[in-house]
Amino acid sequence: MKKTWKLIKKNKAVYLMVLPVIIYYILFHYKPMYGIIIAFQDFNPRRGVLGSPWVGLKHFKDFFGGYYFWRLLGNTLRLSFATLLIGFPFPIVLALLINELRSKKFSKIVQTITYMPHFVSMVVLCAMIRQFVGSDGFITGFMAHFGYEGGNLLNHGEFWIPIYVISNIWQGAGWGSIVYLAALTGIDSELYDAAKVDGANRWKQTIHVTIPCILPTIIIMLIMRVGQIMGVGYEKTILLYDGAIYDVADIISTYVYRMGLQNREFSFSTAVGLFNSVINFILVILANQISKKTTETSLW
Amino acid sequence: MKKSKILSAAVSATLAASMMLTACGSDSGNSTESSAAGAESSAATESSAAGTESSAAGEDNGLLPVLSEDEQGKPGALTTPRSSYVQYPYADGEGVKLTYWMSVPSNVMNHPDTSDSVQMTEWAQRWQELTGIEVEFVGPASKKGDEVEQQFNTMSISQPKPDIIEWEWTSGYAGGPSAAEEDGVLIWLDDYIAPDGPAADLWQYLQDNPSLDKAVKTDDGHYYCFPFTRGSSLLGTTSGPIVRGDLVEAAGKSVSDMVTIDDWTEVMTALKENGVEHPLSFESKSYMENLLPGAYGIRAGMYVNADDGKVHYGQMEEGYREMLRQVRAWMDAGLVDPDPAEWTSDNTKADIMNGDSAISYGALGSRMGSWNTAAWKEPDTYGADFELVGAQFPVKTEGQKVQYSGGSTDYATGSKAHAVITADCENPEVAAAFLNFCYTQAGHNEINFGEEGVAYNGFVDTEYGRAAAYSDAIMNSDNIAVEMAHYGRANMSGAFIQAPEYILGYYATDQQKAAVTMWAENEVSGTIIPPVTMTVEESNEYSRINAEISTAVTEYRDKVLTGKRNLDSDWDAYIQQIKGMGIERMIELEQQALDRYNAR
Repeated sequence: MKKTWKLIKKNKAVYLMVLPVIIYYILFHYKPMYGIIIAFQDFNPRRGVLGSPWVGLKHFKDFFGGYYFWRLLGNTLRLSFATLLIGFPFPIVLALLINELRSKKFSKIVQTITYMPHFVSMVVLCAMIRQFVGSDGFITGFMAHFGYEGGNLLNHGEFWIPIYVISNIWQGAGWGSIVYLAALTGIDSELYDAAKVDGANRWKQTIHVTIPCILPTIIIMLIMRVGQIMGVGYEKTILLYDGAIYDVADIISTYVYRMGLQNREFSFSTAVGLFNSVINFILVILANQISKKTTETSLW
Repeated sequence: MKKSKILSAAVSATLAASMMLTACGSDSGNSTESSAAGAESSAATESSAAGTESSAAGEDNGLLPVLSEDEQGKPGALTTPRSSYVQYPYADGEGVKLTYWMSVPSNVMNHPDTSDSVQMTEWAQRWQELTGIEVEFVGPASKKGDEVEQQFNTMSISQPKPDIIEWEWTSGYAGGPSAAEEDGVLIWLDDYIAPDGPAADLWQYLQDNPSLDKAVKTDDGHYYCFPFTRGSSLLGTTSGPIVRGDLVEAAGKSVSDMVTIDDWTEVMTALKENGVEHPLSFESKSYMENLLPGAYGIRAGMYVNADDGKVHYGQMEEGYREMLRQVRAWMDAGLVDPDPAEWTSDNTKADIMNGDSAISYGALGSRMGSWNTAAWKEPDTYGADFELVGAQFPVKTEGQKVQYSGGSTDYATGSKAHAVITADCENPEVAAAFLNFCYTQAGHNEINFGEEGVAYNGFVDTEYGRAAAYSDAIMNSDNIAVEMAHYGRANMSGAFIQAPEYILGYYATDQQKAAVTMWAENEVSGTIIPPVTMTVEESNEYSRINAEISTAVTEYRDKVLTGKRNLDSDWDAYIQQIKGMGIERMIELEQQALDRYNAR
């Protein structure tokens, strides 16, 4: 205890820096948690959290028993895993490539260009995607060279996941690479020198020095990412899908969003949110345990 | 090595935090979908001229003579107020200060002098001056529907609430006005909306208009609001089929020949042969469902069938299948863009302007009016004879009335503009008197148009009806709608009777006036679900069923349009599917609410 206190004192600047984040979490993430009890109520804002009638698991039953539950769950997981499996490695590869660039100026330019899509608003970005894959969009036109004749790609369910995942990479890979670039700058250059002495070429250096050094960061990012599996946002889907591809594109969050538009279903959406969080929580713990066992890196 | 680990961990933590912070602010995606629907709420109207200028208040009780059955306003044909019972300035209003909650209309927000507050408008100032009652106007200045909604929710649970709230209480509040009364949000107004009460003029107006009287009561017969009502059927249908008359004529056809769906096909084929790429354009699939179902004797969603008087659900009727079949046929023939993803407002605008398309569905103000005006300014680009005109909604057979297309009830169901007095109000009488002002003879014109001689110079009789003669200051300003909204509420919603003279004064082009008067002739009022109310339990059950049904219905429609599902082989399965989800129960709930409404 005494030792901890001493350490805090010694590093008080760092702790001071982290203080706002802690306050933010307490205020906006822990304090509202007592609100999840409305998932077990028919919440009425005028009666308040404590005054609304209790309905037990009604909303959960409604959700699990709903006609579309399995479809929504399947679509959510499929989209999420596809985004994770295909999308996750890209920022890492990009960071490695940028790291290999010897011209400072050029690497700055590359970075700026790859960050750019991240700052484009989702609405604009989705409008661009719609253009690209529309009946006379350039991607559709490109595919027509290979015999594709189906017109607008967004009308066909089978293209939904590729469109979503690839556009996600386009949008996020540059921004996502920042973390890895930061990790790369921390690698001791002596390690490379030693490898060179041992006769390792650039490729070998990457495999045996660079990747092992940033592996902890990769693992941490991966665990955190696994914790968002159920939380695929509705914005992009809402902007891109329509009824013609509901069977693959409709996910839990879009369904709840559409429901919320029709009626203020506070309790129902809280119940769904709680379900998502519980699944996410379990997945994070599992991922963390697995990683602890296999790579000795973990979040906690 | 260890150092680098800490560094990278710190960086990732900061990044994660900052990402979360940005995520909070990037909610912009949701507002896009809702804006299209909201754009049409401002309505059109023609002079009713029905206002009986009776001043014979000679009865013993001081009330106007009761109107005969024939004189009473039928649905869609309301009169202007004819009484001036309550005296203004209101004697008891001195020293009282009321608070009035309404969401700030975008026209007010857009005015340079108002600084996002209703308080600074001319009409809000005049209203207080003439009634002698001081009022503070509060409420959210946001153009996003969900933000306004949130503000309303927060406000309605806060203590104390403002004295007066403008909102929609039949569909905008779970459980309707009765639940709002139980929750302590509003009070019954039976003692105020009475011949001897401080809202006697509204009482008189409701007596004169029995259909409206029914709409503003609860199922138990309580008065609860000062309604926003459209003062004439002219204000009921302001969106409809709009057609490039010049292109139709160039193709050797006439817009007035477009009566049945077959006529439409004929005209569209002629247009196509004459070089119009896709003669018919929809801004969205819901615009398609506004334009076409009437030709098949149905409406999209819940409606009342005029033959049996029962609630029906359009998307499960045979007529809906026929409509989809027709649209598919048009798509296959290239008369409609075969890719429904291209049915957007941007594409429609571009195509109509360029002559790649000739027929669409849209609002008279934001579509026909502004497109015509834009094209006429540049005759070299768009052609000297560019002309958008209104067409009649298509019907099934020649000579049939238009019953199922367009229109709205007198009581404006969609508008969050019906004023109630809250349980926290300490001077409900004064509040009632303040609101009553808009339903008096003098207050009616004041609130609609503003001060006579400043905002408008009386009325003029036009070919289309009586029109307000707006002042030059308004008509010559850069943004007429915004300037109008500074002086009167006529082009916005609120607790008053919307005067039909406004729309004819406001519409700049004859094409708009002709269209709005034509559509006003449609006999639609019997097929629209009136402002019914459901209990909290009923509306919960209804919306839970509807969540699944609307998904299934949208999915089937969209898949039919993209050719993934078939109207011949899949229709029965689709009907079975939505029956299994409980569509019949949904219709039953709506029917029960309608029965209660009709029994009022």
